Amino acid sequence: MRSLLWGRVVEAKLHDLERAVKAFDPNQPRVPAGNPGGGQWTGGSGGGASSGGSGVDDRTNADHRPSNVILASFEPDDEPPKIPQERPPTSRARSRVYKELARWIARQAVGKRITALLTILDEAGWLEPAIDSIRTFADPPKGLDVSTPLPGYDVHHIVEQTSALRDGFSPSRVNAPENLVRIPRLKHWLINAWYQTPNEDFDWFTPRNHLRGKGWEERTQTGHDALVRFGVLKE
Amino acid sequence: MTRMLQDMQTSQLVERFIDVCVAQNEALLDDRLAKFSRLFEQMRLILEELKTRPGDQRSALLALYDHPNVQVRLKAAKNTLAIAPEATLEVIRSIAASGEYPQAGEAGMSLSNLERGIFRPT
Repeated sequence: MRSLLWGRVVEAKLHDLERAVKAFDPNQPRVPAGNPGGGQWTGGSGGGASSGGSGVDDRTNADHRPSNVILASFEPDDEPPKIPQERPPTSRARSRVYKELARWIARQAVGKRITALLTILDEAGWLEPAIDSIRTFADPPKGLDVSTPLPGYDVHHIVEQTSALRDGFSPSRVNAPENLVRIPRLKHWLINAWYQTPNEDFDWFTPRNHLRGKGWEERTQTGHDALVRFGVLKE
Repeated sequence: MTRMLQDMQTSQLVERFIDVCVAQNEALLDDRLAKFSRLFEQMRLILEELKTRPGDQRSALLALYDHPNVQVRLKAAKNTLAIAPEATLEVIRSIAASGEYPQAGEAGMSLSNLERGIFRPT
């Protein structure tokens, strides 16, 4: 499977190269110097061609429009993880694949993540239902916005819901908009697992146990720190 | 378990520490949190044994800062903070910035918890 993936990576690179040569336009506008991504090619819409990971639209663009940015950066940084060609029978085994794949894609430079994702999808079609969750893992941090549903994102409670309710905090406070944030699904899983695993930081207890009986402020601080440290929010 | 650890040489304890941390990494990837908790307790007992030996033999874990497994690096670093704080913080910071989740997240949280005075290495 790995050699197949590498084969597909090389093939996709050659395909990109061919498309880019055919479509090359020396007059294509670039992002002005001094801006993020300055000097890179742009479609002129102001969005830039290297935004990467910003949604299904990017995937569509990568599929149908040649991108010199992807071409320039399309060199896998390390070997892809093992991905079974057949769908693993258990959700646990599948979620392990999602996590390893998401982590690998996140390690790639932004401009080549879409190509890497498409390449893998070609070889392991069973991943398609989870592709939004894998894609969003590599997204840049988002703000606190739960107003619009987004594929691949979950609504997350900054102060943990169940333990806060168990400790007597009111449902209206626990489920208030200021305690909710939309975060990439796989990051949501990782943060939840962090709360449940014992940790040296908390005298060998889990963060959840440590926070038992603590006030709202301390819980919020921990919840906010987790969003920053797991790469969901900017510091 | 404790008795068995007492009979082991320090180098054997370090090998055992590595095995346990590698198994922890697998448990995290597989979402086997109960298994992780058991492995965490095994690691705690190994650390306790190393700490009680003359000269605090947790210093033997400093050699693991370059271990290829990120869970081994993270646990070696967090559990030697009291012995070599500066070198250890460098390891924890580099893991936090590595994007190697979930360890990157835990490392970052430990930095926050140190700043907040919640994590007090002994």
